[in-house]
Amino acid sequence: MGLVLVGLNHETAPLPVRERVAFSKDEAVSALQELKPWINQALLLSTCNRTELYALLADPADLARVKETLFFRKFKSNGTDGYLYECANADVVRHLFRVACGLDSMVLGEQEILGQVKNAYEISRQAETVGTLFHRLASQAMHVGKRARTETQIGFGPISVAFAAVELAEKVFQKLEGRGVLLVGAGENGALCAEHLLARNARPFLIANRTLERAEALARDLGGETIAWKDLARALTVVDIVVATTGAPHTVIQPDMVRDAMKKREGKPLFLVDLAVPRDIDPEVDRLQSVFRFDLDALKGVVETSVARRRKEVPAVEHLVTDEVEGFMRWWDSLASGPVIRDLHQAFESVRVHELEQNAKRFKDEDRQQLEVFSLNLVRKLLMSASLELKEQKDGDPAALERLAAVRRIFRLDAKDEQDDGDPSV
Amino acid sequence: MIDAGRFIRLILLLLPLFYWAALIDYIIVFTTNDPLARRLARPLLIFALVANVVYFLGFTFYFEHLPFVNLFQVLGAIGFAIAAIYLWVESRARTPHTGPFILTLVLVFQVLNTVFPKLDREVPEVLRSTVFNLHVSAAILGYSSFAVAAVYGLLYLLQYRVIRNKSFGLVFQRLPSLDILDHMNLVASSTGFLFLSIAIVAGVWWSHVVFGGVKVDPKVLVAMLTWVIYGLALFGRQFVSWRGPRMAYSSLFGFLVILFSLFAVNFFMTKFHVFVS
Repeated sequence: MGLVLVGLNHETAPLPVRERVAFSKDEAVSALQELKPWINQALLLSTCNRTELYALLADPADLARVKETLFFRKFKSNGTDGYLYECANADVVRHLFRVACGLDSMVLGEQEILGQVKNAYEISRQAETVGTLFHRLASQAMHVGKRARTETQIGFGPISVAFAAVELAEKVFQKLEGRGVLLVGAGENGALCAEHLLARNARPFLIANRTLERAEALARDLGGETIAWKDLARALTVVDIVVATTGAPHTVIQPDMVRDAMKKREGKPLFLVDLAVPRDIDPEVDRLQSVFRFDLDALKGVVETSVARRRKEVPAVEHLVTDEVEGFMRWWDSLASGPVIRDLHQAFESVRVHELEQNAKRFKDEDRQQLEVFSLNLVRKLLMSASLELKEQKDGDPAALERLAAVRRIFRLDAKDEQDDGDPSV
Repeated sequence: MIDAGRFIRLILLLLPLFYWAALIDYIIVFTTNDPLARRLARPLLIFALVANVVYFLGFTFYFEHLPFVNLFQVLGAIGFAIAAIYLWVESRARTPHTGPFILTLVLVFQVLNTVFPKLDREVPEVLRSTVFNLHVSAAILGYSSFAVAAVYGLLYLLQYRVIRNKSFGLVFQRLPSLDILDHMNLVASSTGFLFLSIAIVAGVWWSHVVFGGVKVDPKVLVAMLTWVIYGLALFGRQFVSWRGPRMAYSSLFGFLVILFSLFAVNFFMTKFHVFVS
């Protein structure tokens, strides 16, 4: 038996391959059920950037069948596993913890992966492929992921141009709720940016485009209103945030337009995002008071700064991962029969000694020696059959692992800090 | 037993040290965001404030009058009020990152109060009255609020420049949004205006009681000018969209006038007003 990982990600496999082995929730449940003859416990993590199977195999030789079922059936291997990577035991734990921290993500430190690990755990529970080991593995992965984001700056700052615009807007307006947004042009980048703003309840949402059809389609998709192109100047007095993304060869928002709007806005700030190349908003508007204009270069600058900051945090996160992997392996090692028998005897011995001390005064000095011998024999005999039974448990047998874990639980053999971190699905 | 007078002197000496400790911690929080420093910041400031209250109470009982008689005592009281107002603002704005700026002002005032102590029972007879105490207390609260408003005005201009120049460093990250800074400035200016109005009314009343009419000295004129400046700024904000950078500049200008009133006019005098001399 061994803990193994087999999978592919955005670095080893191109999108057409990743597409084929991406599993929806239901597909993942049935895939896990199909793998059951060879696996004892398993977690299938499938996102747009990775498909990975973490499994406890009854027989390492079955790995080939698992790969065939999960991967090679979906894409032609040409006799090679070029796209796949695999590892075993502590390296598997390290890999999952690194994934949960966002160290293995396309966008360093991204947050979504934590939710995806949680979903994978849910799927495994549904497919009934979670035992003590995988419950602990998933919950500790979630715990490490959360620690990385609270104790380091790995998840800090915007990492896309659209998010950078939102963060800057929040440095001006604090809350975007109720702030009007005008989208000028119906380009994809602008729509993405508007989506982020709308997700923060920025309203109303107006769209101006030279071709009305495209604007109307976008308004339907995102839930906004279209306005005529000629009403652009008037719209500047109503909204607080403008996102410009037209393909026009010249500027469409000129300083005069903004100057007039600012007079009517009674000094309220106007936030302009220019995602177009060539630019849609004349940089001369920077001279106007309370006008904040950001073009692609400025936004990219923000993104680069936060990416650099995240990179600087990588060593700290790796250190944290190493710590947690060591903790996990210590816990796992304690599930072998030897440590369980040792800890069980220690636990009984400490109860024996404690009770003797508590009741020492109730016995005469000459009786105490006999009591010592008697209690030692009693404990040894009480534990004899349990010890023999535990010795019989083969290390590496998944069923034995569950039994040993149950003994640890029943007799509370784990120190408090070594105990379970709770349910990862919570 | 410790001599009460020596005890009061000792606290007065220690007060700048306590505020300094809090300031240093707030600076560490601003620059590194260290979790331990974050946990310590408020307790350190609260400790300094409690020590300050002990000093006020001790002084008042031992010397039998409030420590608001000369310029430096008034400054000390303003420093205390600024720190207390800041503590309240911090709990509302939920960010400790404006602390270093506010507490620098507090420390300066407290140092002046300690370096130029006036520890005696002498109080000009005309200043011994309830209305006078009301006048001074309201003026202290008013000036403290204006000081806080000025700091928020300054921080607004700082953040405004940083965002417009696209220099997204530490200041950009740590300072709150322009919206919050503008709002804090407005709240502090309005509070200051209210207390200054009370101080002026109480001052006029007291003047009538003591002198039988309003005495005009440079300080009174400057106070009136301050009242007019803030009144105009608040009126402008309400009715002619005087917000953002303009509001920030107004509160800074208003505070400069106050500083002028406190220092320049008092430069050759030890007492707060001239007409008592």
